[in-house]
Amino acid sequence: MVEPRSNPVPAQPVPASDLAAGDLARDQDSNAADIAQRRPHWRQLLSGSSPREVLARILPGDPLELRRLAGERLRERAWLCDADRVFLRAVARCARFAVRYRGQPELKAWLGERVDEALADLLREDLEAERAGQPAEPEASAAYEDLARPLGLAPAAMRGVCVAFNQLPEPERKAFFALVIESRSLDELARASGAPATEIARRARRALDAVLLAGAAKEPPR
Amino acid sequence: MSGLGDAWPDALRELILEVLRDRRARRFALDPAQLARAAAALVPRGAIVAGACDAARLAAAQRELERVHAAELAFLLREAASLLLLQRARSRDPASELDTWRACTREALEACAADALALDARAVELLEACLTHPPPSWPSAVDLARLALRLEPCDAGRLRLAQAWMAEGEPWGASGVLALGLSRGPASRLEPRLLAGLARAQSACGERFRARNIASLARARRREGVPA
Repeated sequence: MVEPRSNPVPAQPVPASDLAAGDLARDQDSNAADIAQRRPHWRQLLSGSSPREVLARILPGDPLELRRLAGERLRERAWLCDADRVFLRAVARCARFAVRYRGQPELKAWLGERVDEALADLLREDLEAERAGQPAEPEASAAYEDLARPLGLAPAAMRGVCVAFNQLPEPERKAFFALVIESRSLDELARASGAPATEIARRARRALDAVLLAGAAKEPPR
Repeated sequence: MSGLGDAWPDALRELILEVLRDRRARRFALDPAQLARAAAALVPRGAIVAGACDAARLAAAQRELERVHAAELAFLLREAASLLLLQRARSRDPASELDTWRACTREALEACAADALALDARAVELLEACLTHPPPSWPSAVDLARLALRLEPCDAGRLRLAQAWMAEGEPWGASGVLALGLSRGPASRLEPRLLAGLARAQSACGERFRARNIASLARARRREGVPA
């Protein structure tokens, strides 16, 4: 089955089976390491009779460090999105698909895939919500206000702005992020990326134009 | 009609609207606002589980889990439609793909049951029918894809429904679904495939001049740079 990457579902389920001796030995080794770091083992966190049960275990205190992972992903690819929404959706995806996890790939990689899926879900849902003219959900509104303030835009416009921004090519998003949001200098970015300063400025300008156009489109008539 | 990307050439925008003005396409068009309302009604709002240290956070996370379940069922319905189309193309049961689909569907329905979700009854009915019967006895690909699109409005769903309409010999159906999806900005990463699909559908409708124009303008748009 092949579906566009916009709707990824993790690989097919594996039937439950008893652990082989080798698995037990590996588990004991990794268990010892986690105990040494006072971190629960993934088996304790991800087992349960239902996704809801797993959710109730992995949400409080964020033992899987999904919030940090979500923040890293947003920064790496310069997505404009509420990190808390990404975190909650990633927690939900981990809870749903925990039943399929058997220790491979390495836990951080598996969690990273769930965060990527959560991001893809939310980017797609926001785009559809903009198309349908739906109002932003109350939980999202506060985050949009936080995003709007430094950009000088109306909070009500922010979902549309985020959607327009997230559709831009990655180099343009990164240039905008670095220059406008992180306030880094053109020279510093040119040195770090190897791209000419004029090209970085052009990319950031295209992103800024998209942001301002999307923000203006949502402004109430004066 | 508002919402078409400002970056689109006027000619392409006008071609999309021309398709939608044709009543043969319009009757198949699924309005995104209506889809959104239908999806909101179909996705259950589960009860808040008491006893958590941060009840509001847990409730928010549980709503996210419900959306994950709903999106998964929509995906499985789309895949079921795809399997039927594959069977038609190959003239045989796609056996290994079917086994995989059945394993995923069983697991998904069990997970929903374990979470005590009140799911869309029609979605469960169709999926269970597909689990217990061979593909020739399944509901039509159009029915499966249409329900998937109601459950989760998205361009992947529009594409699948359009493919199902084409397989049923209904290119105006495909045209209506794709044109309305394209007419409401902003564009998604699947826009090139929607445009290519619309060009093929319009060609099959006998609108060859319009189809060539759509295809040509779509190629030009691709050269400009599709969404990242």
